[in-house]
Formats: sequence, C-alpha cells, structure tokens
Amino acid sequence: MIRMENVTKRYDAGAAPSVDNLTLEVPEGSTVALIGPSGCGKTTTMRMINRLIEPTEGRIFVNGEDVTKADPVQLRRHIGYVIQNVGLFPHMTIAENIAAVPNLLGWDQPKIVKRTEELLGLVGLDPQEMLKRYPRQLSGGQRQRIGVARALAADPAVLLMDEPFGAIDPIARARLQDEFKQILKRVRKTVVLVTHDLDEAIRLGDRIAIMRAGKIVQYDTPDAVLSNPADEFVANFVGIDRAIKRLSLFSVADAMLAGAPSSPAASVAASANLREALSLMVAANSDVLAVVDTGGIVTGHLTRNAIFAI
Amino acid sequence: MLSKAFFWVVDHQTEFFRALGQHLLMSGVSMAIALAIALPLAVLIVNYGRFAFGVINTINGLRTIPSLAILAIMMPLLGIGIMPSIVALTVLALPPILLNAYVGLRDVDADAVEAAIGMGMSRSQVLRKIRIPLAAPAMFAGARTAAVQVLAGATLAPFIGGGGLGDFIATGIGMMDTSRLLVGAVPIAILALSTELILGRVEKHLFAESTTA
Repeated sequence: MIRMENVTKRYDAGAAPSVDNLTLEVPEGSTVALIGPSGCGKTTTMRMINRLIEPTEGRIFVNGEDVTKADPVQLRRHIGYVIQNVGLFPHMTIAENIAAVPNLLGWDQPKIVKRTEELLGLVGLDPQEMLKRYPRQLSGGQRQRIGVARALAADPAVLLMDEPFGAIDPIARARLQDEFKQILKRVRKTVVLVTHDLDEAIRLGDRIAIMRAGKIVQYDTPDAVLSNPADEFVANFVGIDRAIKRLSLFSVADAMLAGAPSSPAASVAASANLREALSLMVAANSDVLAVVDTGGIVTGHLTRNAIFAI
Repeated sequence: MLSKAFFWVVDHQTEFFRALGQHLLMSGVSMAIALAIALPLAVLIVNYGRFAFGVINTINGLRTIPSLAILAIMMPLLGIGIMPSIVALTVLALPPILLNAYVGLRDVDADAVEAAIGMGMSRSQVLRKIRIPLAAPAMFAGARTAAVQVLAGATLAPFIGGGGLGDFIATGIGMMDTSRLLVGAVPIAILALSTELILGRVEKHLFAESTTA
C-alpha cells in the first residue's frame, strides 16, 4: 500500500508548487493511473515515492514505512521502476539486465538464474533464445517486456511506471497493455502508473487520479470518472466521447441476453468490449447483434438498449 | 637516399637502437602519467559537474600552446634532458585523453543511467557498472589519439636535450644531410602510423559488442 500525506514539492522557493498538498492512497494490489496535462505534477508525484525527487513537505508511506526516513538506495531496490525508454543496459546481456537488482541484493547465482528464466516466461519470451542476447538485438516491444521483467526481478510489492508504453507503436502498445494487465493478475503488485494517454489509464487503472496544477481533481474508478466527471476540467480532459470510451470498460458478456436473435445483421465475440460492439452495430445499421463464443457458436444476443442501459 | 639511410642504420645499430629506446621510453612514460592523471580527473569532473567547465577550459587552453613552446617553457623550469621532455609530452597527451573520457562518461545513455539509479544503484555503482563500461570505447579512442600525438611530438625532444629519434632529424638538418634526417623521420612515421593502425584494430576487437549498441 502507498499513502501520500499532504505532500508538497516546490522546486524553487516562492514559485508555485509543482505538487500542492497532495494526499493519495493506493490500496495494496491495485493499480492507479496518474494522468493530466504536461506540467500537472504527475511525474513528480510518482518520483517522490522512490525518492528520485525529495518532497518539500509531507510524508510518504510504502507498506507502512515512512520513505522519507529510509535510505534511498536501499528503498529503490525494493520498488520496481519502469521508464518510457526502458533504459536497458546496452553492454549487458538480457540475463544480466534482468539480474541487476537481484545482484545488488546479493542473491546467489542458482536463485538468480531460476528467477530470470521464470520472469522471461512471465513476460512471454523464450528464455533459451533471449538470455544471451544484447538489448540492441531486440525489438521495441521485446525491450519493453524485458524492462518489466527487470523491474519485477526481486519481486517488489510496489511498481512505479513512467509512461511505460509511450515509445511503442499503437498496435503493439494495445497488445502489450493487455498482456501487462494479465501479468498483474498473476503477480499482485501495487502499481503507480504515469501516463498522458487516457485510453491507457482506462485500460490499466483500477483507479484514475486526474491531476491539474499539482492537485488531484478527481480520484475514482475509470467508470466513475467517465460517467461523472468532477468538474468541467475533467469533463474536457476525458473528452466529449467519454460515454463511448466508458463502453470499453465493459465486455459483451456483461450486457448480453440469452437466446439467439431472430435476424441478426452481424455477430460479435462475447470477449469483445461494448465499444467495439456498438461500432459493429453502427457499421451494420442494426439494433441487434448475435453473440458468439470462441468456437463461433451463437450463445445469445446483444441489443442497443442493453448497451445504452449499462 | 633511403638506402643510404638504411646502411647508416646497419652501421650504427647501437646508436640507432639507443635513440629508438629513448623515444619509446619518453613516449610510454608520458602516456602512462597522462592516463593516470586524465582518467581519474574525468571521472571526478563528471561527478562534480560544476568543476567540469573550468577544468575542460584549462586543458583546452593547454592544447593551444604549440609543442615546441611547451618544450621551451620546460627548459628554464626543469633544465635539459629527458625529464622536461616527459613533462612536455604529458601536457601534450592530457587534452585528448581527458576530453574523450569526459564526453564519453557524460554522454552515456541517459535512460540507462536513470534506470540504474531508479533500481537502487549507488553513485559509485552507477559509475563502475554503467558509466565506465559504456564510456570505455571513447576513453580508448582518446588514448589512441594521444599516443600518436606523443610519438610524433617526441621528435622535438632533442631541442631540449631529450634525445630520441628526433636527434637524427636535428643532426640531419644541421649537417644538411637528408639521408641522416630520414634515419629519424622514417621510423617515427612508421611508429606513429602502426600505433594508429594497431590500436584501431584493438579498439574494434575490444568493443565490438558495445559500440554498435
């Protein structure tokens, strides 16, 4: 669990604070996305948690321990950290990169080797193929996966991510985000994610903290933020299409009705989200879709009213 | 003329090899001193950025002084002989080593450094495990440039009684004897060129992995 209490960061005395009397609690095992326009203080907020930036005022607790009193170097070894450009060490092999923190912590070699292979499996890469390679021999998506594996190496309870998928092309990004979500289901981590991409925040965050001028203007679930923006700033930030974005939070299975439809114009997979389903309805100019399972068997139907009622 | 120079060397082997030995000794010792000063200094000013500007400018200032002038300045301070030559050659070797090492250490992949700090490496671990290995090719390149400059620069040592292969050139000029001049000039050229080539090969071999990163 992470708790920030009345945290303020002022880079220059007298200047407006970059982070202004901020209080935030991230429950254990949940993911919070910090989002807002450039200069809103989201990155500063995250970097104070592992003390890459020192707060001017206030207290920060990680798992009950006051980090402002901890040794920063020791603290960082127990907090996973992923940055936008990954920052793999170009002169080290993938195995050495992943083993960086376990080595700092003095683990013995057999344990490190076992853990490295386990992590490569977790992020969906083949250990035999990857271990001896150098970062420059990998694609952008592979490097990002190694970055996540490296951050998880010593099994930290907390993971900080600074625009982790920002440097990846949109198609690969969506796939990596889904994979990352699956990984988080298997390893229970408390995650703070900084992003400027609302879709990423919606997709990954259990909760979203929308920031403006060093303050959190709304801290709630993606559903609540999209259906009830706290003020005009949030409403503008999430956009005029927020109702449609909100639909992506729900799957077809959440809204489908039993029974095969009489004359469906198109069909949709039960695992698709409602935003995609609505798009199919618009494309087919139809009020009803057949819902099919992975084998293509019709398992029910989805109506326009059911989507609108969610 | 070249064959005349060659037969002179055959006839005066002791004299030739003593000069060659002096030349290599002077160059080697001054390179060792320059490396011992410049590399730790580069590490120091990378860690303490505010001194970097002053140090770099001082060193760059030294670079503008012609080698002959440095030799001339050393004479009243250290007298004549091999010592002032070594000091002068060290001054000659410092700038390329220091500048390359400093720039190499400073411009190491910023993301790698941020990741290293973020995962809990101390300042000295970042230096040892990340900055120095990544800057090694630049450091080596600086030393290579310096080595060639020193081997060529040592030619001027005879002007302050430092000896070396430059002696033959000075004598050759004095006696208006071109073949004697070649006895010094050709080996110096061969030394400088082969050093450049060999160290270039070594550099490629050593850093094949990291230079392409």
